[in-house]
Amino acid sequence: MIQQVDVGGGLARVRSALNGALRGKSALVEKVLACLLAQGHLLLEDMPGLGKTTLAKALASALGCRFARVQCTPDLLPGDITGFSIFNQKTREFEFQRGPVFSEILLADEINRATPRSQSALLEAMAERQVTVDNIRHALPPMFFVIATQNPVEHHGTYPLPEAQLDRFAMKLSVGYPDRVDEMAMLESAVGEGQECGSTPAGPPMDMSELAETQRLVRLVAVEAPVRGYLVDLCRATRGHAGIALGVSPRGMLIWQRVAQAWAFLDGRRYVTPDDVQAVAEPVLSVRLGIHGVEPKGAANVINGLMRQIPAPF
Amino acid sequence: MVPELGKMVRRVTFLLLCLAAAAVEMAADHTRPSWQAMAWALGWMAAAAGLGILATRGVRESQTLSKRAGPVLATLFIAPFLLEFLRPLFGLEGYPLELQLLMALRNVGLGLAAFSAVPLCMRSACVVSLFLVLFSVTMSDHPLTLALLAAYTAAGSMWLVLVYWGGLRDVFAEPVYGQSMATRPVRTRFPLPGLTAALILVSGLVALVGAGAPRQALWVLAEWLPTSGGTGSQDSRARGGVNDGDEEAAGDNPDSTGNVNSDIFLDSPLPTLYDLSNDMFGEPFKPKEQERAIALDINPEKTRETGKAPPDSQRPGRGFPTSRKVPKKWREALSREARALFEVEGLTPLHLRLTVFDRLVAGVWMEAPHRVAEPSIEMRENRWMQPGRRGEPEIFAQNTHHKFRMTAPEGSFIPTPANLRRFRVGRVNEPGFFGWAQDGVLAFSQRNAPSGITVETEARTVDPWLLAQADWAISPVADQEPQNTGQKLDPKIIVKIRNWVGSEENTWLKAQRVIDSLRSEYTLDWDAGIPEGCKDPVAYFLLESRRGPDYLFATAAATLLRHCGLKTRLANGFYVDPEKYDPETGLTPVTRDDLHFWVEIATRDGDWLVVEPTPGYVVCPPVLALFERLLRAGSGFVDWSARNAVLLGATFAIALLVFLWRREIVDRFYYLALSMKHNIGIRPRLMQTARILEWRGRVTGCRRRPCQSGSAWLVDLAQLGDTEDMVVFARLVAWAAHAPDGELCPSYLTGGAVKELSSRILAHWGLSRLRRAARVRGGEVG
Repeated sequence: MIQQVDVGGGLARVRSALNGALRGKSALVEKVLACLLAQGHLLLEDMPGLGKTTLAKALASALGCRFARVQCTPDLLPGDITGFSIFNQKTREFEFQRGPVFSEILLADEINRATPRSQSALLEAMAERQVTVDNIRHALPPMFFVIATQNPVEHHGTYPLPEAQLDRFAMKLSVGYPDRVDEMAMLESAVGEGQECGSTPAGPPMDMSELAETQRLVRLVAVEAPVRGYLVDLCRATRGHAGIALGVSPRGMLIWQRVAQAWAFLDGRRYVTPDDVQAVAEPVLSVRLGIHGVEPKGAANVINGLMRQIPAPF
Repeated sequence: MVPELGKMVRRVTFLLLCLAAAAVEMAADHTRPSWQAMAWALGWMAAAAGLGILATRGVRESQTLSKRAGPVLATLFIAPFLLEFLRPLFGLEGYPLELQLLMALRNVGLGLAAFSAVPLCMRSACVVSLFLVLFSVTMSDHPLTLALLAAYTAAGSMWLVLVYWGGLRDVFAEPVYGQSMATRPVRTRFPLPGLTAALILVSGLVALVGAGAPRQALWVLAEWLPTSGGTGSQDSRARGGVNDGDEEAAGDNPDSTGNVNSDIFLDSPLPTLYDLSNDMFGEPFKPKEQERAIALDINPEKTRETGKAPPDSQRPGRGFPTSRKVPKKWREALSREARALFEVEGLTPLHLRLTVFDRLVAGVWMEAPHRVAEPSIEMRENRWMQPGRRGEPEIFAQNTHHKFRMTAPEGSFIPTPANLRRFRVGRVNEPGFFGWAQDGVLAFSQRNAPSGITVETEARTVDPWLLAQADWAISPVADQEPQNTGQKLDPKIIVKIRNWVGSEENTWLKAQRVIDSLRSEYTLDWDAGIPEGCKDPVAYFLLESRRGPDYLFATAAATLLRHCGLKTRLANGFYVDPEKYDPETGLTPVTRDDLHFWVEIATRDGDWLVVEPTPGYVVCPPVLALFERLLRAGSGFVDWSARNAVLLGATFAIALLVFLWRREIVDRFYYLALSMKHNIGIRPRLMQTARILEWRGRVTGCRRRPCQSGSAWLVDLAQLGDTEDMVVFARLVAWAAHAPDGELCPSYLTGGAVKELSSRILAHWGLSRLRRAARVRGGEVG
């Protein structure tokens, strides 16, 4: 039995702050919040200039946590992310200099431009929330949240993320272009302001302890047997699907359930329905399924076909 | 599978079935010309292709079988059986049941090939084609069949290659094909229920056999297997030890293994099976006072002793070879005692006259006159004896043939059915050997019936359909004969007859009603007799005891039918009971226990018809062609419908209304059932309400999609109106379906409020509203 929580409090303020920073993208904001509450990591895949960085910075600002950004380039070294030890001549000892990974929110911009060696530096951090440097294990903040971005169009000089790394992400989202009304409002609000889009509130709407408590409550959201069975059926269907090269792993299935719990929580419920599973299916599956084909909507079509194929419980 | 490859595989699959169909037609009937067989095969292919094209129009490649496939496959399956009825009309010979089943399987295979867009159908069609081709090759050695086998092999190889390439293309598919690939079946359930049922069935049968089940039961079980009993072809010179042809079994060859004409073997000086029997069991079985059934020429010059040497089996000093094979185990000699007086081969039940009585005098039946001369017996071809014909009343169906194997006969009695057409006794070729013991009772003239002979008869079967149309007026001859003498019918019996007969005018139908009343209202009781001193046994039986043995039934029936204007007599003889049929030998034994009494009615032409008033006994049914039986059943149904037009019309109208309003009726039933449940919880009430709504949606075409949850479907429905209540209800249903126990009801609704909401929802979202919604939305909602 979970405690009643005031969903309309800090969470609503965070939602409001994100909607203010990114106009006309309330659906995207909901999914980002679900990913945050599910303690997953987020991969944003879209064109440049659509607000990926803005979203990450607004989220960090709303939560009042440490934010770090890594601009991934081919010459980025793993130590640039995790940190490195330098020799202090005064103390005659090596001292560990923490890298940007030691922040609550890490924005890995254009992650597919980093070499596989650098990309793999994030593997341990994302999966176990720790990094090991010079055989010394360093724990990361419990709220560690990676937002990675990549450009789906430019493939020159990029290194596609390996499946092992993709499976660490909870979701892959696409920001997309705002519609005309929102773009008009955006232009209007930008007149007379600085370069940054949106304004940062004076104080954080939700502090880290409140976020931790909310994440704990999300973990307690009930998933009854029929819904669990539906989830398992869906995952097993991906493994036998002719259009899918790589099905959902058990880790992916656990993440899917956690995201569905977060989605139900955001809807004010303490139980998951099949609709929650379906609602988060596309962002959860698109990041980890090896879909044949390169058509823009190919993955979405396969996932929708999969959803139509498996009967949902009443 | 890749689209263009899948299309090619489907075409090759249909080609395989076409080749298999042609091979089946070739093997089915090797007597007809090849072009005729090919024409039949082409006809079936065209029919299957046409039905397949019509049924699959607009249907894309899919995993599931189309709803149209069922009727098409069923039609193709039934078609050969229906055509079987039409074959006689065109002068064609019928096919045995095995071949009909094979044709039906061939048609189903063609149908499956037509539906080969569904992978399951395609694979099944290939399996069927393989079976058909292998079956045909084993059945026929015609060169064209072998050519078809070669073509099938080539086409089958091509099919395998294409399917293999299809699999490769799935693996190495180009991106452009990636999105159009068919999904592989994700649910491959192990057929546990089917295998369990089969296992139980097989183990049960094995246990049954192991436990020593009655042999007769096992034979009956074996008879369930569909078979026609052969192909219909007959070779009179066949020699295989079993089912030898007529010329072998009935000929003069002592080497024959046929089980007839034993006198040939006894007379033969050559070694025969009888000698083997002697070696094993000693002297051959010869019953005492055995008389051999040999037709002797009446000319005394030819009946002298010939002085021939006795047969080898009866000579002294026969050799006993020690090099013979030793029996594997000691075998006890079978019982030599005959199990029956005679055994019957042919249609049963059967009434065989032994004695007939025509006058009832003071409760005593008097025998009919003995040694009647009429009708005369004449010999026809093949030693068939034909009694003189008394006329041809149009009350008969086809003739029926019987064989009576006399094992231990007594007296001069020759078993013959009523309405005898002709008969043949062994090799007797002299009609003077036979005579009439009484009217219609055949017997040997001057001797007893020998054992070991076979009596073959051909008799007419009475068609009950025609009896009502026959003329039943008593002939002038009958009027002169005395009937019940010295006994007047009790007035109470006359009243009873009136009650039974009612206003019926037809003589036969009156008799039929009397017989039916006796069979239905009276009880067969072998121990119930007539008390001593009773002067009118018929009245006592009919009015007081209402039970008795068969002779009381027969006596009462004879008396009552005479009152109805029919000439009757009592007959005593053997009743061949079909319950005693021995499937192992194919014969029905008749013993002394089968003695029985029945009634016979004289026709206007002087023949006697068997009528059975005793419950539990039946008269031999008429032999009718299948087409005629069907025609008669149809005609009977029309007549019955005409007689019960009002009742039938009312029933049909009610059935039609029930059919038209079936959904409303079921819906009302569901609604009432839910309304009457006052003490159920909130969750069950919500779920039952949602299930009723789902059922309504399904029957009105506004169905929930399989991938849609119940609450999502309800929310979609809410877009059609009554949004507020339905949205709340959808949320409540989601809670009822998926929330854990202890989770509070959303909006904190009470049981009463939920009940009220459910009633509102059910009242608002009725069948008519959902039908309108389905028309507007076009099928599935959501």
